[in-house]
Amino acid sequence: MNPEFVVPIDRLQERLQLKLIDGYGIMCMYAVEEGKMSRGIRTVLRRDAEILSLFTPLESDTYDMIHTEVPQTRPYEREMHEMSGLNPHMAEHYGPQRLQWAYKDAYPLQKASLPEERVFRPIPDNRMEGDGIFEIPVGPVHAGIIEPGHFRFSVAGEPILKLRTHMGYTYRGIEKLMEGFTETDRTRIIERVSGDTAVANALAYAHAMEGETEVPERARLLRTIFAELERIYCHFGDIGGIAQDTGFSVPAAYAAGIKEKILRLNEIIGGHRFLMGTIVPGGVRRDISDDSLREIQNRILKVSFDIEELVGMMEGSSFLMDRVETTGVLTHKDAVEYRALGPAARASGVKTDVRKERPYDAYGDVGFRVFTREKGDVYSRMLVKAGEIVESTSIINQCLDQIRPGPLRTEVRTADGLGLGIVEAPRGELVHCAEITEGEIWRYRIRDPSFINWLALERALPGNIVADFPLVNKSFNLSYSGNDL
Amino acid sequence: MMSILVSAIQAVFLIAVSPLITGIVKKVKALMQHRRGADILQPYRDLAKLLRKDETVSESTSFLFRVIPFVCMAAMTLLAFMTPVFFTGILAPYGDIVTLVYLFTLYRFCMVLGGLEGGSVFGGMGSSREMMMSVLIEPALLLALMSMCVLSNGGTDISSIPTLLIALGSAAFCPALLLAAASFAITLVAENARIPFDNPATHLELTMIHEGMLLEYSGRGLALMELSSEMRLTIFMTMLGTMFFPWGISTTLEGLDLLVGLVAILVKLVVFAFLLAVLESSISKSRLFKTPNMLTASFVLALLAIISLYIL
Repeated sequence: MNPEFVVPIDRLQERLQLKLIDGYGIMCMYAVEEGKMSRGIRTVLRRDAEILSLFTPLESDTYDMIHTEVPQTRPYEREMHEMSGLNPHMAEHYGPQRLQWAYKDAYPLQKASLPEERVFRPIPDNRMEGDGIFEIPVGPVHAGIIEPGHFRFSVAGEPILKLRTHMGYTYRGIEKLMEGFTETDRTRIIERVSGDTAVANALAYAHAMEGETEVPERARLLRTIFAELERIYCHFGDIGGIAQDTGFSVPAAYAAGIKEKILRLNEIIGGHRFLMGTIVPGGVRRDISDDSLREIQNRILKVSFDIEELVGMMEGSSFLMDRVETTGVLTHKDAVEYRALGPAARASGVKTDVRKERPYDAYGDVGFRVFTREKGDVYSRMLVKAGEIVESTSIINQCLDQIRPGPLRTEVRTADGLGLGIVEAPRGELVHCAEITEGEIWRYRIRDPSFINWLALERALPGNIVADFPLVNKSFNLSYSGNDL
Repeated sequence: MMSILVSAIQAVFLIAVSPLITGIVKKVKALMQHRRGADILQPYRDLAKLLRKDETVSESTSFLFRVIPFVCMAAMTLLAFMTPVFFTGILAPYGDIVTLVYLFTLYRFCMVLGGLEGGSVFGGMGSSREMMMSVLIEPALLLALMSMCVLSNGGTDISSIPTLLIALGSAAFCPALLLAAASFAITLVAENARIPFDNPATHLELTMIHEGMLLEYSGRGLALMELSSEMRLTIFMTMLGTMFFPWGISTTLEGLDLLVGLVAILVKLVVFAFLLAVLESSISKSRLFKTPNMLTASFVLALLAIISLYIL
């Protein structure tokens, strides 16, 4: 098991700062209600494969907040205020982050039943003031088929001075739901956290439940194949989206076509276009025939040519290159300070990839490169994603070479304590934390990469013009429902 | 009498064919993307649908909001009467080049007001971007047409340009014609809010220019705005086909000549629509602040056209 330390609240800030200097990053932080456990704050840190979990017992709801000193904790402290009722006076400063409404003397994650009455939380008016500075509200309803979220831009003409994101329109209470139900239903819920991250979420849930359980080899290889197929179609969608948002319709249509072919492949091999219902704690739900494996191999072979063709098409257009280069730069400094995740961080020169640092399933048995770029602009993010598609095809091929007949599933022995599931979702490091007591889940926390990367997006935007926002947003392509849960 | 009748038919023809041209552009773009695409007659159905629908008007608007679609439509209808299509005689012979250019400006000005009327952010942004573009489009457009006046030696009278160009015969094919046509083609793309200047097919309000100003319109008002912007595209293409490359147009009222003129302009329109669709499919939208560069290029081309007339 991972070492666990109890840190009193007055020492927490100092301890975290020391650990951050040491190279650790805050992976997750959440509040636990008293009952079967004592009340407190759980902080999980990671440095490569090393996991460190801290528990801070709390006497009262109010404590001296630390996010002004430790910027990485900002989203977590906001979340603890919003969902677990800590620091009741925090609301005035920040707007809703995961939930649009609030309860009087109650909070969404409490064990007791919630009152009927609820009030909508206003979005704070902390606009910038000055001559010729305007505030543009956008959303929550957007054009096209995308998720809801509210953006506030402070602009001086076209250039953006500040962006604030306000989420919480797709809150479904998934963390609360996870405390009940049977295992089958929980898998079904967890796959629907964010539609195109179904495999990664199911995988993280499985890992959180499995603990030390040894998963059969065939299941580990199949899981890896599923996870990489998901990454491939997500990245194709993202790259095509960049073309679409610059009005470059032909490559956009081309990428959409390839994505569709992979979704159809998914349907053939897993019975579901987004591969829902394939991964369960202890293994995989059903086997894949040799015919389907060959089908995967054929498609994957074509994919590596397709991505070359697609990127070539886009790089061949000087108009498009002019749009994507130097647009929406996330600096290396910001990426490190806010601990940006996934392709967005890798495009800013942060070499982070859970698959490499803390291999799970079959990632320890396959060779692949972690793609990084230095500039942190839209083009870098596009290239990182393109590179990852190529690496994914290679990972799948290696898995297909290694795959042998064998058992698919074992009995899961869920141990009490903190169950951790850390996987590299297409958008970055996805963390599931399960506080298990007496064999049951007391608190379940999902930390989607989008939860952190929305802040990175806020950092990447100032200095760009309003007309480029959709493009920058598309290059991050963050999940709204993964943030809200 | 006969000439008035033919001229009136020209104007009606221009109005009637406009949605078809938009339909063709959309169809070709769809085919370029390996999509089947909507029928080329779809714009007609859209207009019919919009005309049947009720209008929703924001409470914050004044009477201008309702008037503007009619003003825009009126400006375009007037332009349809002023443009030679398959016959050089036109119904509004007093209109000259300057009137023509400023009718376009009137149209654009009203659209900008309409965009601001709704009080929405997207309309306001669209309007401000449109004004930035229009400052640059206007001189380029005027200069390109002026160079045709100089080339044909006919003053600013619209109907005399095609007649005199045809009379010049092969001598009309000079660098000035091509330079002016190139300049006009760039303004055509810019004025009609096409890629790389604006994306007519986008759903992203934050990037919109032309579409942003139309966001608040619905029902009948939207139908008129859509039809007038489809007409603007067709009128621009017709001008390119009759004032820069007039060959085929009928200068007399004889049946055969008129028929040849009609076929010629139809072929020209379809070719231009096809070329526009190919252009839109092969490049992406440019950076907003780079559009002035392209419009400057258009202006410089028109200037070169005029200079070349005097020094070559």
